[in-house]
This record gives sequence, structure tokens and C-alpha cells, in this order.
Amino acid sequence: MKPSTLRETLRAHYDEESLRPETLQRLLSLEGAGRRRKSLGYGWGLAAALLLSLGLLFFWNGMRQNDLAAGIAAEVAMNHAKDLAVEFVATDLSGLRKQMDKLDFTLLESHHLKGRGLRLLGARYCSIQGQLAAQIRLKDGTGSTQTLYQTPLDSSTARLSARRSVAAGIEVQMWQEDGLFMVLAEAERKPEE
Amino acid sequence: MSQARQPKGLEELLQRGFRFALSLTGDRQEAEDLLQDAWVAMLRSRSPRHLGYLFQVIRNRFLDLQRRRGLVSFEPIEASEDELGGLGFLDATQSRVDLATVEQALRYLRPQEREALFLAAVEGYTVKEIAELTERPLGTVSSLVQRARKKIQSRFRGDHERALP
Repeated sequence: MKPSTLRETLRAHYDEESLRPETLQRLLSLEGAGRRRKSLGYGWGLAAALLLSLGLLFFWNGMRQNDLAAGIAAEVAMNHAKDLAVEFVATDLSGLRKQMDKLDFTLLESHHLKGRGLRLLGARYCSIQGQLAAQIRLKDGTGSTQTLYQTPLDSSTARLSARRSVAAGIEVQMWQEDGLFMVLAEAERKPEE
Repeated sequence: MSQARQPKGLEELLQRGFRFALSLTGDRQEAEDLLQDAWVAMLRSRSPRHLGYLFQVIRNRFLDLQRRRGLVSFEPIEASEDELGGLGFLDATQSRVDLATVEQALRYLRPQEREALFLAAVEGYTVKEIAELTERPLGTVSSLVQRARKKIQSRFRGDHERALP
């Protein structure tokens, strides 16, 4: 065996651990999206400075909301695509509430999803924009998986209106409900040809 | 700020961020989640893509999530006299251990021990730089690295003793 110091051995160990190529590419693509938004923001910032109009102020607020929503959609789409195993298995929400006792809010049954025939599989802890959230795994009648996120509204998400977008082939819907911010992610449904 | 070598591009920045996250979590999947979370936060704040800043964001996110889950408490550690030394032992040939032992032993270290050992041995941080990043006293940092080293070497010795006929 080649003699090596503790430093060399530790470096060899960590050198073997790398991000998977697909994960690395996803993270790099987020950086690119951020840069595009940034340059657009500067353009409108200059226009706002020149015009000083109230109309542009409203527009700027809209941009900030779009920026935040795009960031959330990208984060949620990436988590959905990972298809991580649930930490807590339950078939109803009360079972989940008992197990996920570190949440500082109560999981809610969304009115938005009623009548869609979704079956609960379980959940795990996660975060959205750095805030603790529940990532709830659901299955619909066709067998496809959907991921529902619930987290308390904060000063940023409270300003977001309900919206739908597509990020990395994942359809993302977000809305507010009874003090919670909810996001649903599912594979994009393509129109039948 | 650290004298450690700065990454040459975003790929290297992310890979090193991932390895630091792994030193905290001890789990690949959790490390990916942690890095993603920190990366999104960095992009949102439009802060410079600096390694030290990325480490700080990763660390803060890790502590925040773990505290909320009630999984770890980062209690202060008092350093004993023999633990207040430099990091020269990392490069001493007497401290050598094999790769398989290190991989196993790292699982038994506490997150703060793995973190301090990673920063010292892999990233080349000094005790002072680790103390600044982690906001811990110098003695505590020395103690964490020394204890991590002792735990790894005791496991190495144990393996060799078990291997004897």
C-alpha cells in the first residue's frame, strides 16, 4: 500500500465524491436563468430612472414577483424530478400531521385539489426558498406522481398571485390557501396528437 | 478571508460546495438538496460567486434546517491542553490511514467534526480561517479536528488489530 498522510487520504476520498452530471447541469442552468433576469432588470431599472413613472413602478413589482415565482418553479421542478423516497408513509393527512411534528404549521387538505382523485403516498421535510416545507407525494388515477408542497406564507410568497408555469418539463402551479403557500408539481401534460 | 485556492469556474465552485455539504450531512442526497437550496438563495441575492460565501450559505442553511428538525445541537466544546496544537499532523506520515478506513470512520464523526476536518484537510483552511467561517473559538476548532483525527485513527488501529491472526 502506498503510504499517504491523513490529508492525502481525505482528499482522495472527497475527490471521489462529485455531483452527478445531470444535477450539475441543472444547477448551472439556474445560474444562466438568473443572469438573463438580471440583465433584463437593469434595462427596466434604467427606464424607470428616466421616466420616473408610476406605471413602471407597478411593472417593476410585477417583475420581482415573476422573478420569485420562476425561482420557486425551478426549485420545485428540480425536487419533483429527483423523485426522492418519502420519509413518512401515510394514507391520510391526519397520519402525516402526527408524524411530521417538526413543522411549525398545520398541513391542510387543499380545496384546490378536491375531486381530482389524488391518493396520498407520504411526505418528507424539505425547504422552499430556504423556508421549512412539507413535500407531499400524491398519485392520481392514471398512476402518475404529483408533488404538493405546503409552507407558511411569508412576506415574499404572500405577494404572489396564483399562477401556472412549466419548468424543465414539469408543470408547476402555485397558490395561497388558508395562510399557506402551496405548490403542485407534475409532469407536463402534452396535448394529444 | 481564506487563502484556500479559489475555484476556476462555476463547475468547480459547485463541486466544492457539494463536497462541503457532504461533509456536513454525511449523505449524498441531502448534500445535493442542501447545495441546491444554497445555490438558489445565492442566485436570488445576486451575491458574488465566491467559495467562502457559498460555504457560509450552505452552513447557515444546514444549521437552520437541522435546528428546526431538532436533530442536532451545536454545543460548545472545551479544548483540552493536548488538543491545542496546529494542523501539522494532517501531513505527518505517522498519521496515515487507508481510504476504506477513512470512508467508514467519517460516518461515525459528528457533523461539526467532519466539517472542521474537511475544511482543514481538503480545503486547506487554517485553524483561524475555520474559526472565522464557523464562528467558533480557535481552541474549539483545534479540538474538533484533533478529535476527528483520533476517532479515525482509533478505528484504523481497531481494524488492524482485528486483522491480526
